[in-house]
Amino acid sequence: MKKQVLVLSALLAMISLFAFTAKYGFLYPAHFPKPVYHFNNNTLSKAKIELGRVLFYDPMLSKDGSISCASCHSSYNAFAHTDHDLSHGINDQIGFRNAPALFNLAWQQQFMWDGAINHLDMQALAPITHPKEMGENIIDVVSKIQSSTLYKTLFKNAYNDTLVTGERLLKAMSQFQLTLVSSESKYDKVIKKQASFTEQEQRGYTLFKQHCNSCHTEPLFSNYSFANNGLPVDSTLNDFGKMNITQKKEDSILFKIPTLRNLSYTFPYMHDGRFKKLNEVLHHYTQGIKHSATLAVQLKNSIYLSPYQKTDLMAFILTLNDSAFVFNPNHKYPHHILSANPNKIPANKL
Amino acid sequence: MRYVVAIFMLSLTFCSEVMAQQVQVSFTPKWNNETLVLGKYYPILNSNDSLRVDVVKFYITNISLWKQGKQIYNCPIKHQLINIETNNVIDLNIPHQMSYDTIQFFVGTDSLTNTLGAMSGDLDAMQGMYWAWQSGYINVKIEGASSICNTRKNVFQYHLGGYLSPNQSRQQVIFATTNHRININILFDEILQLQTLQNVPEVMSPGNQAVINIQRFKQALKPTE
Repeated sequence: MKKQVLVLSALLAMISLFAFTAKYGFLYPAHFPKPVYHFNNNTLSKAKIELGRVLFYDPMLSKDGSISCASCHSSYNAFAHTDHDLSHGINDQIGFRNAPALFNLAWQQQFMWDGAINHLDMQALAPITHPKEMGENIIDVVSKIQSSTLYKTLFKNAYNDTLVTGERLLKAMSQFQLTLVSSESKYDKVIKKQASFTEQEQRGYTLFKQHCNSCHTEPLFSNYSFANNGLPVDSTLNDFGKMNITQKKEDSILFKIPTLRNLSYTFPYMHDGRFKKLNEVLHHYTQGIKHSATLAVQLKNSIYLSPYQKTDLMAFILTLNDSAFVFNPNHKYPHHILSANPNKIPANKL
Repeated sequence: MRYVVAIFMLSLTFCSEVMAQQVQVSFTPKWNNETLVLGKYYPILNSNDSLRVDVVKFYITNISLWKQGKQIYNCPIKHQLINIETNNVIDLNIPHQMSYDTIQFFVGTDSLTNTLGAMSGDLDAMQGMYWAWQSGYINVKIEGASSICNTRKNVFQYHLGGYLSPNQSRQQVIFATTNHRININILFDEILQLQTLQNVPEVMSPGNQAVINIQRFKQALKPTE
């Protein structure tokens, strides 16, 4: 009886920890806000998620069959591109922005560092068509996939027929990316009362709330808005962020605020990958801010952190690493499908 | 009894089809009163140069029919892509004996549609009418070439869209008509004027130039008498 009560208590605890939107099949933790993605327009299914996962890892989406989404968004880097300041593309071309980490996308309304994309479904079009990334177009991608026997099976499983359309392809890719939820870090466990911060981490948490939380708002550790964080413009890139899209001078040097989750896996940092180490990032915020007309109001007054405080803050930031997410086998290269079908693409379609 | 119900249902279907009438809305590209053929060269007014038009695609949305200021018909298919190369006709099935004095539609998609993510049919990104590098539909696409254009391969490209204020590009069009065959000429000699081709041969992003050009496109729509 005692055992049954314990099991029941554990089950109730589990239920209280997770909100489960059974209708759309999307699981997210109770301490997260409500997602902004409209699942009613793209109800998750196992088969569609699997299709999206294969597409995500398939270099067929690029012009020459050499680059997949995962080339710049690898699972073991929390779907960022560690060690590369700027993204890579076909023919060894270098792009002009740091590939951002992909997770917790259901809580984001605007994508890309400059907010150019307004919906997750349409995001994949940007790298697919960019001449320095995948250099392809959606019509040819659909044509290649339509000719693949592997995808005939995957589309049949997902949509009950083999018809490949841009809509189906893009929505399947969204489905896989929506499953990339990072919510099992030590911080999350503390919030769920399954763990405790050390004294140093707790001091760091207090500093975080004092200096960082207004932009890197917990529990997602970003408010996903846009800000000028005082970085001088790199003259080799001349990237003015959101202003490139809106053409408004008040948007000059505004970039999307990235999450602070999984930073140990996602270096280098900033939109142009200029900082390789977190110490450099802290140094920037305490001593490197360049004042300009659009500087975020939170950064107009200097932030002072002693070396001890920096260490404490760093200790807290490291509690945001989520190894369970990074090593989740459901997110990795789908060997069981892609390796089993090495000749899936007709040669004349490459 | 089952047969009686089936026959009744069939007769209802038959009657509703008989009772419907069709209104056809067509778009005809023109150059100096001549029907414009894609890929064919035409002399530019006030110039010794010529041009050819290769692509003309645009969205017609929210078609409605009105009588004495009241809307009496709203087309159930909200977005229709006109591609002059393949399809320049929209068919409307309206109730029998419905009469109207005005047709109203928009050139371009509404702002909500631009934020809904991946769509099917005429709105599928495969139609080549969705910007990839930023979100939003291209409401009007006109491409071609002219030696007067100081661009690579002398091309002109007008990809006209934009759904955010202050550069919303969607245009409302209202014509008085009672016809069931409504042909609307698109006067390309008014759209592709000498100065436009010389000064702004390419518009590829939302903004003021896109709005100016799509307004010019709207003004060049003339119903045939």
